[in-house]
Amino acid sequence: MLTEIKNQFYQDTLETLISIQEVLPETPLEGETARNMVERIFTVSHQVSGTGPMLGFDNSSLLSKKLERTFYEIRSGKRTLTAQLLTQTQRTIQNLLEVLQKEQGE
Amino acid sequence: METQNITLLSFKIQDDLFAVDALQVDHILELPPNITAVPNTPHYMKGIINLHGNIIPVADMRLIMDKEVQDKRSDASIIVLNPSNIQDARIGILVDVVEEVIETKKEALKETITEGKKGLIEHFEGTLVFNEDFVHVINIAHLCEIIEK
Amino acid sequence: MIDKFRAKFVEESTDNVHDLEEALFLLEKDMDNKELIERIFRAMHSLKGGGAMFGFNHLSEFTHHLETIFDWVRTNKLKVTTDLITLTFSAIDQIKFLLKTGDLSAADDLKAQQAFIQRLQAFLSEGGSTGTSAASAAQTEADPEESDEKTYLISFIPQKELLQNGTNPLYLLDDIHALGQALTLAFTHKVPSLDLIDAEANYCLWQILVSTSESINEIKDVFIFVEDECELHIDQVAGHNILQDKDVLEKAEKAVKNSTLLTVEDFKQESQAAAASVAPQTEERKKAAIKEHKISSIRVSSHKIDELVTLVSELVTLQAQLSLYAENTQDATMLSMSENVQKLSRQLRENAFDISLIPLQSELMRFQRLVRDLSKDQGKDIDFIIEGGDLELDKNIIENLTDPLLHILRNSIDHGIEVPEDRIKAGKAPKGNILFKAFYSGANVIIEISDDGKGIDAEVIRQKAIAKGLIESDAALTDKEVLDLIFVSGFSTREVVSGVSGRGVGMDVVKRKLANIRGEVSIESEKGKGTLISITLPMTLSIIDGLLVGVGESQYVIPISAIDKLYALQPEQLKQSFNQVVVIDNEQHPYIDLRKVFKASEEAEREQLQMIMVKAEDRLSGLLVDAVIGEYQTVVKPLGRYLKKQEILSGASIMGDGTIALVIDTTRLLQKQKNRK
Repeated sequence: MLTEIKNQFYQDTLETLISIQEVLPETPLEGETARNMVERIFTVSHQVSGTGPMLGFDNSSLLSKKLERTFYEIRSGKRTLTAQLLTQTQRTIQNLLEVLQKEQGE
Repeated sequence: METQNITLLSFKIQDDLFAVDALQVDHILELPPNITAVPNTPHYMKGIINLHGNIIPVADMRLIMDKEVQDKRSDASIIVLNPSNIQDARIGILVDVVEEVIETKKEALKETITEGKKGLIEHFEGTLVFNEDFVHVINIAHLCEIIEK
Repeated sequence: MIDKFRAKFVEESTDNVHDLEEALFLLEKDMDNKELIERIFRAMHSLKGGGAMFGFNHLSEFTHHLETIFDWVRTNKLKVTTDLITLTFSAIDQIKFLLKTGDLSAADDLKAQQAFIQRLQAFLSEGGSTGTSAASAAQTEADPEESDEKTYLISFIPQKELLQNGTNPLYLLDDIHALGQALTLAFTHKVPSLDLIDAEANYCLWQILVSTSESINEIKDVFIFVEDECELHIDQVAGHNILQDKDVLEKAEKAVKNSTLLTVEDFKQESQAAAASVAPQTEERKKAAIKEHKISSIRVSSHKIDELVTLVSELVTLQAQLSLYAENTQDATMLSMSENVQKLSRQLRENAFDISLIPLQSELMRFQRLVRDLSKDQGKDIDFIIEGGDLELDKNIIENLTDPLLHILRNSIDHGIEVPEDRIKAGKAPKGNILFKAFYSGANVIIEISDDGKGIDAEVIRQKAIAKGLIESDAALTDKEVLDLIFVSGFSTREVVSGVSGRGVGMDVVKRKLANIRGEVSIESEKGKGTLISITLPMTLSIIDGLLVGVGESQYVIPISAIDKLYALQPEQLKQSFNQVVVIDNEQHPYIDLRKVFKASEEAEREQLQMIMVKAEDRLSGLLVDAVIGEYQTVVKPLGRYLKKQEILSGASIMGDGTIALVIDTTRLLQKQKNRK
């Protein structure tokens, strides 16, 4: 059962991250689209950092916490999403994907 | 004065012979098994076909000329015309039989005297006597105009 | 080489000027907006700086004066007024001219330039300035070389664990280099002897000297996701670029050699010494500035993009054949391979099309300018509203669209909108409205330009058409047919227009130009109320995601983007339905039976049918089909000139097996249905 949940979690997270990666722009967006994007990244990073350790994705969770923290700040208006941040986010998501795959044993 | 050579492609609608300028003929196709009907079009518009990945509309020449359609004819073909002076205007015309390519001189064309109405076609480029038959030459631009209406 | 830089500068500056105009338009509506003022100031500042760097000295000098004005505005010494904005607009024209011609040589041009500068100066001295302003203005003038670049020393000392989370520190160094000119010093003295090395641990640390105009926060952002695993110090060590300074370079070299990290103290003297010698750095600054800008985008010839798009279209068609084949073989490996190809080609296609699209916005500035300038000239007051400016269209379409649109707008202003007095007499608000609206409709893009001006008098058109011999004097034409005469060549000549109260300058040309890009134009107008011109364009997105459905014997494609929901219906549910409305889960849904629309034979009894809820312009309606066959990516081909009257079909699609399915334009279908009611 646990393996199944784990696989499901892994698949879902992978898909979400890839889909985010695909649409992540190079320059900051404005308005509704931007808010949606921030919300999506926050949600997925929140999920990974929360559920990850339970399923053995320890490193992914650590990495994800950083995204979570940063996007929490953006979400609550304490930080602005700059082009530089987008670049770093893109990198970190790529890292997260790799770490996830490593921890899943793929 | 220099004589002008013309090349014609002749075809049959029932027993009448017609021809179009062969230089504006793109393809001659056997009647494909399925022509996709397009709803809400004039009755002579048979539908569209896929010619090497392009959509080509097909008009039934027999209906344009007010002739009966004999469904059993197996020689029916589509002549795909590519009008030289109209852009993106390729069109297939469905005819009973494609006959032959005729090389002739422009002077050989005589004024057309049609017995009876030829459906929607109002005038011809001319008429040629060939092997003791009358061949009426259709003006492609005029034909396209009719179909486009 | 320098020519290339100059060309690049002109290109970038054109964007800058564009941005400037945009901000100015916004400022006109919101005169207290600090952010906009900053934006304008910044744009001028980079024009000034860049101009000097690339030998556009007149441009630089000119912009300098303009910049001063906005510096005053920014520091609240001057208020934003309509005069100021108008002056700035004409100054922008001068900037454009200077960008185009480079430094001036003709005596007339030089004179005009001087006169303009005097105007700017006069504006400043007359403008509501406070007592202290003169002094501070002098200060701005005295210090034109003040650089906005600063040099920072970054010490990046990662912990051993840095690499474990997949972080690649080299990327971060790259990103720092992208901010400006940078010098990276790698310290490897902590690397242990080979037998003690942990392959996954990091032993290096770095110091980077970077000269950038970006803020310290921007630099911090680079390290945001590694800050837990490293020690990070960022300090400003100079108020300008010191990376060319020999002393600095020597110090850096020594630091690496001796494995002693640089400190802020090391730069104390350099910064003073270097400040004196600004000149030799300009060359370097040029490079830095160019590098910064070139990273984010490259320019590709549109021809190459066209080719790419064509190839992708072919790939998609081929891929459809492959899936079909794979399905027939029922071979698992084959199926999964074909699925992967499908995924890839989908991504590829989205990418390729994305590349060839540009937002309409890029042209809208010209329209705003036109409306503003023309209306001022003619003493008219016009509110120009744009909706859907972010809509993206194929580059080729946009190029061919600009002229016709400018033409239509000009007509709207010249002949449509009345002067305020006339508007008041007609019981309208003194301010006229022109609405520019762009939106997607099925596989088409529609652009509507409407005004609330005086409209067109059909009777006048009719008389003129009779006079021109275009129609018989007793021709029975509806008003709509009469209006359409405007598009007939031979109708609109100068002579006619001066007599006609409506529009007419070369509308036949507009129609012809639009036809070149397969666009269609139509007109509606009501005398006294206004005019609406509507342009329908094909979308270049000739590949769509579609749902293949069966209706009678034929297959149709419905764009997925228009679909809201699917319902399976029992024929009994329809029998109970009343007035084309079916009730599902206590909710009423209006529906359209596609069998009726497409005149499919209604003989075959339907055991079960599907209702596809589609949305278009706020309306939701069900489409009844016999069967849902599946989801496909498909290339939409135009139906061509002979079938252009097919309003509710936007094209045809060739399926994997070579058969054809017609693509439904859901927006038009719903519209047509509504009109019928």
